[in-house]
Amino acid sequence: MDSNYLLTQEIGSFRKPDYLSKKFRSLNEIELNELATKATIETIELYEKAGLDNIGVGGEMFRWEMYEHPIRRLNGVTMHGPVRSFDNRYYNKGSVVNKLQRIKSFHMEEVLLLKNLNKKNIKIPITGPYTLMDWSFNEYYKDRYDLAMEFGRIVNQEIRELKQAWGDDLLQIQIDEPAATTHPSEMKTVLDSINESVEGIQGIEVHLHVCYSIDYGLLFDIVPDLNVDYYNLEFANRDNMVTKGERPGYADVKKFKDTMDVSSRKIGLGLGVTDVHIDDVEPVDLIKNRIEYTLKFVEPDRLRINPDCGLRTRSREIGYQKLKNMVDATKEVLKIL
Amino acid sequence: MRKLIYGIYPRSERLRLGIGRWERGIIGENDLRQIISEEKDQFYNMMKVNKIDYYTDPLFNWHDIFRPIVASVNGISLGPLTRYFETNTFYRKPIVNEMGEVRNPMEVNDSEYNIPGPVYRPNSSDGYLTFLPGIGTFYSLSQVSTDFDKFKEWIVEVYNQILKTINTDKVFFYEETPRDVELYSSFSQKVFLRIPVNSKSSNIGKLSVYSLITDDPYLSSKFSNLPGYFAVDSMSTKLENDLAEKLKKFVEDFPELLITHNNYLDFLPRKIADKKVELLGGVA
Repeated sequence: MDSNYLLTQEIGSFRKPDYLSKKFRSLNEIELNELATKATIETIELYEKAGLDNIGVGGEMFRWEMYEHPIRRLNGVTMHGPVRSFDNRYYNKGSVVNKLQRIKSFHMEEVLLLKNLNKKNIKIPITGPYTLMDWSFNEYYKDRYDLAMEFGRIVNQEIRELKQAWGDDLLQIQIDEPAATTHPSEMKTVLDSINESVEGIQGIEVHLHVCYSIDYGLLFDIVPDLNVDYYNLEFANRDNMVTKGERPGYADVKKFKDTMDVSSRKIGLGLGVTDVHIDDVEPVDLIKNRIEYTLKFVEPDRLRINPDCGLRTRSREIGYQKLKNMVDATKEVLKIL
Repeated sequence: MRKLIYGIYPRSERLRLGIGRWERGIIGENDLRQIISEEKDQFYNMMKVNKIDYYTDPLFNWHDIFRPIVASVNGISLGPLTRYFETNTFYRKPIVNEMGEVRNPMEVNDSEYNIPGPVYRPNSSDGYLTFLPGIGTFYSLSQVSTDFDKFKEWIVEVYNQILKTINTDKVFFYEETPRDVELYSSFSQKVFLRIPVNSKSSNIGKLSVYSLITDDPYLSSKFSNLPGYFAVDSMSTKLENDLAEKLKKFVEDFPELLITHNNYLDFLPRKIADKKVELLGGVA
């Protein structure tokens, strides 16, 4: 059996320990670095105990959330205050009022920490250019396309710097684009800005994470032209919890297979097998069934296994149990491959 | 020039924190009601200070434009969180299974996903308008088990009951996906109808309302007594400092023009929304 079969990975965020989350906003840089380092090491231990092949960046302990973290490290954006996402949940939406310039690396602390810990099996999530554009007010650039491309250039600088710090070994980068399919008429913007983000960078394996899309077909249409190696997608949230039988949540896997067949690039799928929005821990047999269903369409060396999305909204205990069951189910499948 | 502020207004930090504390059980329902009431007083005062002629309830206790209506009507339940058009804001999709009885919106206390308090807290001023989601919008953004004709008959009845209970003489309809807009002519109240920019070609037909609000006052004037115009952008934090200059072109053509924003202001940070209210109010 190939050692690259069904590698398990996490997607990005994991619940922060209380000692970090309760003080996060009030810590100075030195204090934050100290507590985030401690939390990262503890989370990696948890991941390794669960048996994950790829530990990501140890749960994104240095980041409060995915938008504001990079935006606050740019010149050209003004924050006027929070806007509503839903119910009583708000996020700080920036206004792009001048030419964007990166003034500080977004994720260098994480890469250097993981390098110092001698971890090889990592994957760096980076918020993608299209999502950064879509979640900002554009009050400077000509149009949404221009702003997305500028964010693409900024993300490109970031990835280059991270790769340089990482050294010669292959570095996995995951571009997070939850907004990717929200404006069907803008898929060219999605395509061009993501390609801009990785243009000319050698020695990286590029992953794209998209979740809660109303139509993955929009994404699959541009896959042949995207410079992306792996697509880490959410499926479990759409599926039922019945162990055997139909897998309605995984209907798009077949469409992904059709896309693989017409892509000249060798691409793979990161399969979301556990729902991050519910506390119910999916049983091993259910996850196993989801993987087995997918293997009818995707070869095991092109299939990786992950949660639907980051597990930050679950408790650390439940998050751990979900990852553990995911790994155990994968091992069960590997036995019969 | 007349001025209008409508729809969900952004919550203040105090209110957001208050709701968060209520959700976590740190403060009680009465404490939250008190905060909401004080915040609404401040909002109404802001309307007065800025000489805003017409305004709706700021809807601080509405999580989205449908939620309290859903809570007031038997037979509608709340569905999944759903993206609101192409914004990064989400609402709970109403699931309309049966056309049930209407509860008094002033007495609706709570529902599983809503904040306690009356749906509206009317202000005694002449400028107060009762906000309702447009009928076409309600239909297109819900999961409805019947066709539009049946739905519209039923929702018109529901809306009439709500308006009768509140005893209001002016109503504001927020329409994002207009359909059969003539039916707004049938309401006995003074109707203010907001339709989106791209709906010029929609079948306006024999519409006749007190004020039709869109991006084209010439079109509005054909169908209403008080033409309304989107003068301020609620999707941009850029302030319209040239507003008065921009409006000069209409002065000769319209003895009276109602100026407002192109969508409700909840898409903006609170401090920007406040500045846009001041800008509108400042137009002579």
